[in-house]
Amino acid sequence: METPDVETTVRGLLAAGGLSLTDTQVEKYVRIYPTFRAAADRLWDIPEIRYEQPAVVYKAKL
Amino acid sequence: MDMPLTIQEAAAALRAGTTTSMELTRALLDKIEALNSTLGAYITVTPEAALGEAAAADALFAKGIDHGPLQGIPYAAKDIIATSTAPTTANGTVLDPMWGEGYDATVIEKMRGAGGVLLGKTVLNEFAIGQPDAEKPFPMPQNPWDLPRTAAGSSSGTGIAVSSGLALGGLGTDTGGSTRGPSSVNGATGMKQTYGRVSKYGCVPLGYSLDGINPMARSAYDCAMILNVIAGYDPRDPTTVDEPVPDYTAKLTGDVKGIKIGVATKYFFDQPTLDPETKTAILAAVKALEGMGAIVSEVEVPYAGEAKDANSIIMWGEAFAYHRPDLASKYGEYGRFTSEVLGRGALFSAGDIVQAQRFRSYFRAQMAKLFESVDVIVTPTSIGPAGLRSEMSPEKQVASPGFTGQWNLAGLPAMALPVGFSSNTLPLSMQLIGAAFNEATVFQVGDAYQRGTDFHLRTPTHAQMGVAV
Repeated sequence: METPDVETTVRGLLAAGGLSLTDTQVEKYVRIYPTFRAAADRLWDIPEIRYEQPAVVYKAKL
Repeated sequence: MDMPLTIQEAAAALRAGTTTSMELTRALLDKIEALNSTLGAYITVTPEAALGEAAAADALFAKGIDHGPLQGIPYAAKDIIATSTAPTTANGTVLDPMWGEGYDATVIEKMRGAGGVLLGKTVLNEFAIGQPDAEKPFPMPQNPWDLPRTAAGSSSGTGIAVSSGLALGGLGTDTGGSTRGPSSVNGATGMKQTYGRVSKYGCVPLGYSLDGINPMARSAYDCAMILNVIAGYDPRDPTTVDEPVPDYTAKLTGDVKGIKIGVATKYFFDQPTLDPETKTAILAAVKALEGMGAIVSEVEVPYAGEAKDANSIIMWGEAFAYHRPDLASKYGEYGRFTSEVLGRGALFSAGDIVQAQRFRSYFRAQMAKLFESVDVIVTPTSIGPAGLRSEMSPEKQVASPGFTGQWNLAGLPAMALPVGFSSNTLPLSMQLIGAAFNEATVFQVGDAYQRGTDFHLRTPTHAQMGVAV
C-alpha cells in the first residue's frame, strides 16, 4: 500500500478531528507535521519503556 | 511612604505600623492607572473590591487579628482563574462569558481567607497557550525592560505586574513553562510546585494532567509565603494530594551548607543556541552557591529532549479534548496563534498520547533516582533573554530547545529566578528543580542565592517602560 503524502495525512487527521479549515490554515499544520511526527516516533523507539505502564490512574470508586 | 519591593518587606511594614494595606493598595492602583495602558499587565482592575479588602485587612490589624503574612498584601491573579469579583476571560472571546461567574477558585478563596487584597486579573496568552494578538480586544503585554520584546507566556501579565511594581506578587499557571518563562524574561521569581500540591479548581484547564496554579513574586521568600497559603488538599480537585503542607519559609535561613546541587550540563547547557551571557550568569550563580557551602556536581537528565516532546504531546492532546467543539465551530474566533496551536492535538494518535504517558512513568522514575544523589538540579530557564515580539512565532517556539516542560511531565517543583542582566539590560534567569514535594529545598537554595544578590529587586526604569517621569 502506498504511504499517503504529508498533506493528505494532515488533511485526514484534521478532518477526523472535526476541523474544517482553509488551505492557508492547513498549510501551517502541513509544514510542522513532519517535526511532530518525528517527535512522537522517537518515543516509540525508547527500549526502556517497552513494558512501562502509562502514568494514568483510574479509581473505580469516587 | 516608600513602596516596599517585596511581600516580606510589606508584611513587616504592616505589622510595624509604618504603612497600611489601604496605603499600599492605593499606591499600586495609582501606578496601575499610570502604567497599565503602556505595559498591558491587567485585563481587569477592581479598585473598589481591592480597597474594600484592604480596609478589611486594616480593620483586622486594628483589632489585633492577624491571619498571617499575606494579610493586607495586594496581589494579582491570571485571568484564567475564577474570581467572584471580576469576570474570567482566559484572554479571549471564545470562553463562555458565564464561565467562573460568581465564585472563587480554591486558590482565590485561600488568598482571601489569608487577608490578601486582589487588585485585578492579569493578561495571559489566550487559554494559556496562544501568543499575543493585536487584533483582539485585549491589552498587548509588553516587556517592561524593553517594550518591543516579548513578556513571554502564558502568565505574561503577572510577570509584568511583579517586575514593574504593579503588584507585590501574584498567581500564574504553568503547563509547560507558563509561570517560569514570564518570570525569566521579566525578571521575576516563579515557582511551579509539585503537581497536586495546589488545587486547580476554578481554573480553565489547558493540560489536565500537567497544569498548576503557581506563585510569582520578586523573591523565593515571597513565593514561599504565597505557596504556604495556596497549597493543600482540595476535595474539589481530585488531583490534589492529601499530605501535610510544611511551612515553606522555615528553612529560609541563608544556609545551604551540604546541599547537593547538580548542574545538568547535557542538553541544558550544551545547546548551540544557548545565550552565552545566560550560561555565564548561571554558572556564576552556581559558583556563588558553592562558595556558600553547597556541593556542586554535574548530572545528566536522561532523554531531556524527549521529555520536552512528551510533555507537549500530552498537553496538546489534553487541550484539544477540551477545545475541540469550539475549534470545530469557531476556529477563527480564537487569536490567530491559539487555534493553530490547539489544533495540533489532532495530529497525534491515541497511541501516541498513551506512549507519551508511558514515557512519563519512566522519566518520573529516572528523575526520582537522580534525586537520590542530589537535592537540586540547575538548568537555564530559557534559551536567553527576551526576544523581539516581532520575531516570535509558534513554529519557532517548537524548533527551539525547551528547559521547562520536562518538569511538568515529571510533576516536579521547578523555580525560575533572576541571576543577572544581559549587556542590553534584559533579565537572565536560572531554574532550580527539586524532588517531588521538596519545594522547601528549592526555596532554600533560591533564597540563599537572593540574600547575596539584588537582581530580583531591580525594577525597570521609566525610560525602559516608555513613560514620562
